Amino acid sequence: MMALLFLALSAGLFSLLFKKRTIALTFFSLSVALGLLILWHHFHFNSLKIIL
Amino acid sequence: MSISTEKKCLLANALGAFALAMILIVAFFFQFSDKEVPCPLCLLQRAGFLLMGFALIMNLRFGLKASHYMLGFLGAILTILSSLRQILLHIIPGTGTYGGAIFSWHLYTWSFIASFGFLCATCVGLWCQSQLNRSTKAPSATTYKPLFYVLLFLLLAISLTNTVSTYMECGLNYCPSNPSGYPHKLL
Repeated sequence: MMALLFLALSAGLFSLLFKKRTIALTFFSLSVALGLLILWHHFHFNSLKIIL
Repeated sequence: MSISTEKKCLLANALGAFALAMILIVAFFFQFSDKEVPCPLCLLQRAGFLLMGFALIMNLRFGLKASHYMLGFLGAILTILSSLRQILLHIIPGTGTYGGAIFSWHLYTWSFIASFGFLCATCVGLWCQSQLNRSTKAPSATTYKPLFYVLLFLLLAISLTNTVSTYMECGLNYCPSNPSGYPHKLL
């Protein structure tokens, strides 16, 4: 999942090379969404471990 | 805002992007020289720094825009959340630490300080943006085109290296909490 995040970031940076703002913003949003998902998963998993 | 002030703002953006790239290179130095395998929260912080650099590079490419600064804000918030989480995990004495230290502070503490500094710098950038006089023709990306390409390729190289090393560490799943090595082969 984390590798996909970095891949999306790389794709976004690559699209900047061709001045494609919309594509860059799409990949940026995808990266932020993946980052928040991974962070939520981390919080959720560890909180569950503490509760159980 | 005069054109020269806008040029200064663009230069500040370029310097910021370079500083963020240097932070990521230091993280790589610790990873490969000390053979430290980055934890999931460390990788999230790296991604956050790349997102901040992405926003600054967009300012260089498309000209200064408040929306680009807000993208940097998102990256900084993600980095602050993950670094604060890591600081709190190790704040109780005896719970140990993760990774190396610079000037006796661990990398996740520095990460929190750097992203907080980025937030403050972004506020200054946004203030500059609010002073922008729309009637003046912006120099935008054309002024710093070579600098833009250098920074873009630097960040792209860092991002691709992170993709490969993260794939080798975690594959396409969630990363383990205590990673031990690089079990996944690239080819």
